[in-house]
Amino acid sequence: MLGLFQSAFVRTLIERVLLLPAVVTAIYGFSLRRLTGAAVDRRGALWAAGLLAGFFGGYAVTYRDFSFPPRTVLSWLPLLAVGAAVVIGAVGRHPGKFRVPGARALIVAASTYILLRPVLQQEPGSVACMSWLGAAALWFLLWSGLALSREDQRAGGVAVFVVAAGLALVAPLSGSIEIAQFSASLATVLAVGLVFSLFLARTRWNPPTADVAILILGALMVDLRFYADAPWTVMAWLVAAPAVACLVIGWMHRRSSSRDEQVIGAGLAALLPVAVALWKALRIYHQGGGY
Amino acid sequence: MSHYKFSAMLKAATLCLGLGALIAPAAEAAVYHVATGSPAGTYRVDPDHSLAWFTVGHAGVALVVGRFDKMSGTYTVDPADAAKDRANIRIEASSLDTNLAARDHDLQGPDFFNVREFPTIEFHSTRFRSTGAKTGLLYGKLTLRGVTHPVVFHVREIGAGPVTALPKPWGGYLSGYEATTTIRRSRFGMSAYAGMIGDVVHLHVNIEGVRNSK
Repeated sequence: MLGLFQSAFVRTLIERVLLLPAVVTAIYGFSLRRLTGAAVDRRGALWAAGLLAGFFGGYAVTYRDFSFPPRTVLSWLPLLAVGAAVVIGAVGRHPGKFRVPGARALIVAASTYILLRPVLQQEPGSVACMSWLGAAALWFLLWSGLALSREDQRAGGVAVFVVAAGLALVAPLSGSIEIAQFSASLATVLAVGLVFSLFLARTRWNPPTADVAILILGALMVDLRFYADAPWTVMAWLVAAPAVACLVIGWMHRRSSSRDEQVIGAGLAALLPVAVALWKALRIYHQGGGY
Repeated sequence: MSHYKFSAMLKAATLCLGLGALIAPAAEAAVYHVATGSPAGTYRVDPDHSLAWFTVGHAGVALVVGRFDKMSGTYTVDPADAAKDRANIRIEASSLDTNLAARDHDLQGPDFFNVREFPTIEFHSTRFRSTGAKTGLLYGKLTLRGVTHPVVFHVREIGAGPVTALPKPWGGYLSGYEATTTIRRSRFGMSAYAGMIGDVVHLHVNIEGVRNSK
């Protein structure tokens, strides 16, 4: 095991995927605390930029593709994430019951179409349409459930962290180490952001902070299923994790549970399906003659 | 020995000698030889007798071999005018085979050939420069994973000429080539597992073509 970490290959992976995003997010967190001073409420929405900065640090050193227009489905990640942050951030500042859900629905519809376009072009029209609408509807429902509260999205953030960490372990067994690297970077920046906002700075997460994380996670899951061809059973358990977390968040929200209870509840709820997804992925990997 | 038995043996010996005389030229014709006809003409790539394969370093200790089994395309050879030489080759990326299904699945995924997004690998020649009687350099553009870069193939003609029974059933005029080049996979957006899998990839293309026109 120790030999594994002495390998230059593994060390480079860890440095690029975990350390760099963590350091970038931590620097952002300290800067945010210093610059905003006592205006704690202003930090809530600004955390989205911290998550993006950390994630893009990991993206830049592992994938190095900032082509425009984006060349591959994975190259769309930066543009989609920034676009979602800007749109949700702008829309969230104005009152209106349907503005944020409407914006999310549009972002999800557009993102799903962009991410699935190469696959949809190879399928008959009706099948393509059903695939697109099905994926978009599922993504929208999970997004709405995870980012339920407009005052504090940390519970959704914890659930996304658990699923992203699980995806980082599942993806290499299911066909893509790059999706695993992106997932690990996402989990890392979320972990650092949550440590700051839960223990160090005690700030909430306002939209679009969790929204950005949910968009990146959704895009990675779409890529893993449709391009890395990850097994359906593994994907079903991975999707079940945020779904269960949504139910728990919704239930606790109605019960007016404390923020800390919601955070712990959402994290624990997502943990079990992620563990099952990992076990399934391991089993399928070994059955396929893992190498 | 009776007269009857002697007569039967004599007939058998005569028959053997006769059959031998008939078979001997046929056995001589079955010896393999390289066809030495003119390669001039436009050819269609025979997918059953053509493939592309590659070798890449693995873990710093060995070479892994992979091959693509499905290929199509055309090429034109004009020994009198190299400016008319052309080659357009299309490889189905999903026909990748490295002799291990689990590895093929990973190599077809987004980290490497990304076959759902980029189903084909294409090469279009731009010019040919002869370096010998049967060798030359084929310049062109290779598109892999949607990224296009210029490459130069070292080409060697194996043979050309009429072949009976191939393509089945009546035969035709065939020619065959082997071409090799070296690329860096990172230039085509394939950077995954750097440090574990080599960046330099040696490409080999073995082509057999059926002449469509002179």
